[in-house]
Amino acid sequence: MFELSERDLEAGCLEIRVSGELDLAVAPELRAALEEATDVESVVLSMEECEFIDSTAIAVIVREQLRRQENDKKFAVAGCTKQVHRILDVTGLTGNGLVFASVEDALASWR
Amino acid sequence: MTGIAGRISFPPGSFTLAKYGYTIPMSSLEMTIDSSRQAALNARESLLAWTDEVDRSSLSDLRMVVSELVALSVVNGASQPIDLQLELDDGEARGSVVDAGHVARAFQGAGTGETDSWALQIVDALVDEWGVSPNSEGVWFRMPVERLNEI
Repeated sequence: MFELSERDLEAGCLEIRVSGELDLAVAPELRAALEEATDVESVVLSMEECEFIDSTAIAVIVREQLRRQENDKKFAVAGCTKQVHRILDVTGLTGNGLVFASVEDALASWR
Repeated sequence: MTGIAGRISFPPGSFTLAKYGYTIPMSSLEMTIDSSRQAALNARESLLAWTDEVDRSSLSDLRMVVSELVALSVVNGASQPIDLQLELDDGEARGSVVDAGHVARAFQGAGTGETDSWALQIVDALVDEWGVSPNSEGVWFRMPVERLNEI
């Protein structure tokens, strides 16, 4: 079952955890959560418990990456399961500094 | 292109590896899915019926392709039920999604969904071949799969 949860990792850094399957039906919920975090300096999207993403999720992630770049804020996708990483890979998103093996790796890259 | 579209309409059956004397059954799934935001999820869950027949990685890719095609149909305005037909053969899965032409128009670059280009990119990366069916009512695809009961 799809679920989103949030927690503060450190000052100005929010983790949004995705659980379950992120697809057409629920991608708008992720988009809304990311928009709510617009003013947060750094956001990590944790995918350790996400079993599936589709093109609608990819579109939300790419939109958020561009939006945050334009506002000079940080954004990362971390801890991807095999299926999630495969789809990020075939859409060309694993080679541009967006995807990290873990949340800790993402935070380390920003220090 | 017409060859595949014709092949996927074949009834379920089996083929014989005469060299070895074995017969490997061919599996098929046919379903009609209501067009809704849950349609892709319903299609993916139906494919879990092949959990014991297809290796995990192949099934993941197959579920991805089917999910994307059904989602393309939904976001491009399919208002009537979507027909999904799948065949599992020796090392290959073949399928079709028929929806009065919505997904076919997206395939041809005339779709209206905001995420069409990502869906097309994902499907194109995972299948061997795909195209629009001769009557333009849907799309077909074929892709490699590893069957668990292969010799």
